[in-house]
Amino acid sequence: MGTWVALIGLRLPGPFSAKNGLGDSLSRRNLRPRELRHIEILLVLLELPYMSAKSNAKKSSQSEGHFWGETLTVGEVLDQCYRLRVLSRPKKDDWQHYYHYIQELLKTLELLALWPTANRFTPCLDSIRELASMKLSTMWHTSSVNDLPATKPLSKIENFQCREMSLEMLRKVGHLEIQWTEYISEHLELDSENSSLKIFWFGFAAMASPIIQFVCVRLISVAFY
Amino acid sequence: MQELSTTYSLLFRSQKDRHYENLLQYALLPAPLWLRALYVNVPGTLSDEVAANMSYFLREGVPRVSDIEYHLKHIDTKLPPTELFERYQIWGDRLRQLKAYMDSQKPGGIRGLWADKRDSLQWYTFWAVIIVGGASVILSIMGLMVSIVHTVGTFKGLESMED
Repeated sequence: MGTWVALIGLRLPGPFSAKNGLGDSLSRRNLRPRELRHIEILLVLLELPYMSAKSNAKKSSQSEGHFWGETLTVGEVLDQCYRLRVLSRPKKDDWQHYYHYIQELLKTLELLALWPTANRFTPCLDSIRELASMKLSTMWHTSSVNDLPATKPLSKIENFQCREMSLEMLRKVGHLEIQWTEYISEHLELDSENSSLKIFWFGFAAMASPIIQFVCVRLISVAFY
Repeated sequence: MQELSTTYSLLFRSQKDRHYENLLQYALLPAPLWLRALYVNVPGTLSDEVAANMSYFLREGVPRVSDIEYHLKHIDTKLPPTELFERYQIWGDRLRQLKAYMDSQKPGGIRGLWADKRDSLQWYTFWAVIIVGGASVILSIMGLMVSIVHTVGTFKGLESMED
């Protein structure tokens, strides 16, 4: 869950110790673990409204009083991330990459817990441009990005052998690399491109925490996007 | 929330499904970076070499992290041979994806073939052919050698009789 990651991510040693500022941590790209990326995107997100306000002082008067989540677009944030090399710029029409970045962006926003997670809707999206011009708040309330290119094949059989899902089988036959994840929404998420499978770590905390149980109930109601 | 623990008990298993081997499979999982940083029994961050995988946190005589304890709580529960996807309301689709992926995977190498016991009929047929076929080839080679020796011996016997 976001809160867990926020706590854990900020306590990580190395790039985020008191001595190292943002610039230093950005220059250490090759050492960056996955957890830090969300925090880097978060820093970009928090700086971006001020930077754009400085660059066009006249325009800012229009957006004054508006919360940045309502004014910034997905494209602007991603562009800034490419510029600061937090994310590498994908090729044109590379949906897979865009999809991945949108997921990262959503997880970053989850750290802030700005908007309620319920009541997401699914509009139709046809192009990357359409997605890039979308406001952050709209994107948050949109779940369509979740099922765009990632519609992986589903098994049509009604049952499965239990031992097929064991770690040993997944490793030896499926050649999967098993990773831990701090997000319950990523539990059992398969990345067939990198042949990796994620497993949610905080099962114990999830049992104890009514908030996470609530999220799970919501997951059922959305029927996993 | 029961479903999460059921998925744990599905995952943290080995082929033979014995406690020790299940634990061994779990120990091969990578250790999360933050756990290495925050592990209370040791000051400072555990390096890659010391705690590359979970086996470090499973050592005897050291209290286990409550999360790990929770993960391992389920490794000894008995599982039925097959399960319905329907029973998994939250992660059913993810499991279906995983099943589809596993079905698309072909085992590579002899070890992969040995480990791939998903279709037991196929597995037994394949290995029976290997063993029976291999044994018959070896026996026939041995038989051939014996008959060669036999023939050579006979000719030598004939030659000595002519002398």
